[in-house]
Amino acid sequence: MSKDNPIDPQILLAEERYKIISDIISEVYSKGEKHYSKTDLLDRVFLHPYLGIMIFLVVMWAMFHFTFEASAVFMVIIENIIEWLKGFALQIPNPVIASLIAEGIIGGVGFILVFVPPIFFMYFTISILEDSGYLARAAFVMDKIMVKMGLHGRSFIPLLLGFGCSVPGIMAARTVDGRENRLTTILVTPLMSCSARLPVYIMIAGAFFPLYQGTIVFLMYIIGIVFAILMALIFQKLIFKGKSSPFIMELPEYQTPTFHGSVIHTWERGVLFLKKAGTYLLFGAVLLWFISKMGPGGYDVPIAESYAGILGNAIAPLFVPLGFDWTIVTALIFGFFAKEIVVESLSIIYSVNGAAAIRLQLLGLMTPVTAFALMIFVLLYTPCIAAIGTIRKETNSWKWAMVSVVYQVGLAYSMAFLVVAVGGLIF
Amino acid sequence: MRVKIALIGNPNVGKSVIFTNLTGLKQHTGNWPGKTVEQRVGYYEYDGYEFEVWDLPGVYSLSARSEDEEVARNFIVDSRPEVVVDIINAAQLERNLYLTLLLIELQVNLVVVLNMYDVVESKGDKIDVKRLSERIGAPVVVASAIKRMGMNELKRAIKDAIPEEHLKRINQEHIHLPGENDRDDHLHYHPRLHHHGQYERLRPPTIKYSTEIEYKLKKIVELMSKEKEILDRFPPRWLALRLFERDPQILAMVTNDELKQKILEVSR
Repeated sequence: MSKDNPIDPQILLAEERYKIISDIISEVYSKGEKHYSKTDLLDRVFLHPYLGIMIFLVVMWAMFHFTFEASAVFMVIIENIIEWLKGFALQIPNPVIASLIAEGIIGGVGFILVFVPPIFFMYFTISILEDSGYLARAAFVMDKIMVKMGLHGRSFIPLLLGFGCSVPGIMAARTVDGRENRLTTILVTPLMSCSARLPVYIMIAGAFFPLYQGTIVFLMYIIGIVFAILMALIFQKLIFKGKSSPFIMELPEYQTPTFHGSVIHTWERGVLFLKKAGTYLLFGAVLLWFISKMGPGGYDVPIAESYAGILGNAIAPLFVPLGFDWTIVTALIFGFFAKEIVVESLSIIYSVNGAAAIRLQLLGLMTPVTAFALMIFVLLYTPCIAAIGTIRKETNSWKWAMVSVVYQVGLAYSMAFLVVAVGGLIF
Repeated sequence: MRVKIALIGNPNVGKSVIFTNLTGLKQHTGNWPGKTVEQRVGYYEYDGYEFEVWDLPGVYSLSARSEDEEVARNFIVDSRPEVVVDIINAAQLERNLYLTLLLIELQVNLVVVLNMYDVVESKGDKIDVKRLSERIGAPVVVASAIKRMGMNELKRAIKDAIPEEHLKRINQEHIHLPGENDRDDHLHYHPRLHHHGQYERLRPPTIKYSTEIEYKLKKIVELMSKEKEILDRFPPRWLALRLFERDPQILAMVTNDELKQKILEVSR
């Protein structure tokens, strides 16, 4: 220790304390015959710097695959029930009310309900991973990468929550130390693929990549993580020039998850989706039905001449480079309110019966490359109006809320364009 | 008057379970004044005495960098509870002992709980509890809170940690006023550093650091000897430690710039 280069007294004291602690431990703690507990053994594998990441990826892939395989049959059942209800509603004598209920409410909200099984199954698998203690390990493994890349360690928890919904993720960014780190986390959390985007992926992947649904959706989630990390790096390096700090994370003991506990957790989260379907999505469906039926020419105009068609057509030229037609553009615009509405609006705009028919419509409209570009666009652009509101509230400024919207739309557009351009060269 | 007890420990050591085991339903919750941190206070009776348990937030250290740490540190410093119960996850002894050392620095009347001891045993490991107790100079109670094991032993250890006369005095609703000078009135743990007022419950630190550091601490205490107001609030050695590591909160209390400079010189 030289006079010119003094050691931080704080570190000096900490070292002193740890010296005393290790001295005490060597005196009082004796290892038994069994050198490793179950937790120690599992952690050796799951927390391994390289193996841990591979396992994390495999576990995530398996999770999505299971979600789709297990939910497929339930989706068909719900679809049939919805179809049956729709046929029932169409028998209402008043044609306007019949259309509102059959095409607006049942066609819109009902169609969303088809995606309840995959959402519930995904929550179920996440609950199992969480209760078993694995999810905390996954966060730990990812945290190591983030810190290596110069990000704040605590950022991973908000990002992880962003998988469920961006709003709690953004709010969890409060726990991140330092204003710059917090802002970065808030700005990139919406890039994590929230559960509201899942129906869009399932719909598009089901139409264009029926054999690889699980893998394609898994890919979306990974791309979301990659972009969150990349953008965070860019924000950190270019705007904030912050430095990273690791964080202490408590790793719980591994436990066998109970079926009962997992079901309860699944229900707690899943019920939020049902609530959303009954309120926002219902309202969105009615509104969409209204503007797609009404136009300057009155009620029941052809869809292209309705207000929705006019709006979509007005903005559609901007999306010509991406190969999205006006129906997709309209759906994307309404997707600003909530991502599920993208699916809802396509169902209302095409106003055809059943998921199979919508798939056929989409297949006629787009190439697989465009479809992939659309998924990327949905993944990267602003998740919903609630997220924008939360960003404003958490940063206490409209400026950052606007920054978030602008950069996400810009990123979504440019990346979707990149997909189309590169895809066009290859295929 | 009730005997004031504080529960402290790292996050996830089973502190809440112990709190509930001790107090049952006799508790009320609120927020620490001006903070978003939850405050829980509970009560229990043991051996004819009434105890008031304050559940402090789970912390890894007492550096007052986060709201949680600030709440925990200020409570111990300002309210000087009769006993501070440090709950340790026995399976994570190394990390948990760090906070224990910080509490020893604070010279509190310490009782240590080795919680989750069954986890250690299931690994086939052993902890020499008696030796641990000797090393840290505080009673150590073995417990497994989830199985409600060790709770009576803990209650007894808490009570035994307080000298009998003091317990009786609390029971007689006697409130000690600064300047009052009846000899057996308070706990003379450390006669030389005795002050009237709140700091008579100071225990001599049971763990000391290297002679070099201790020498510097003494120097800082000497430098501060004229700062009566600050010395009245904090245990002198603890104050010196904080000044030594340049704790911004404590350093800000030293308003004399020349003195501050001298202190910073020492810790260089």
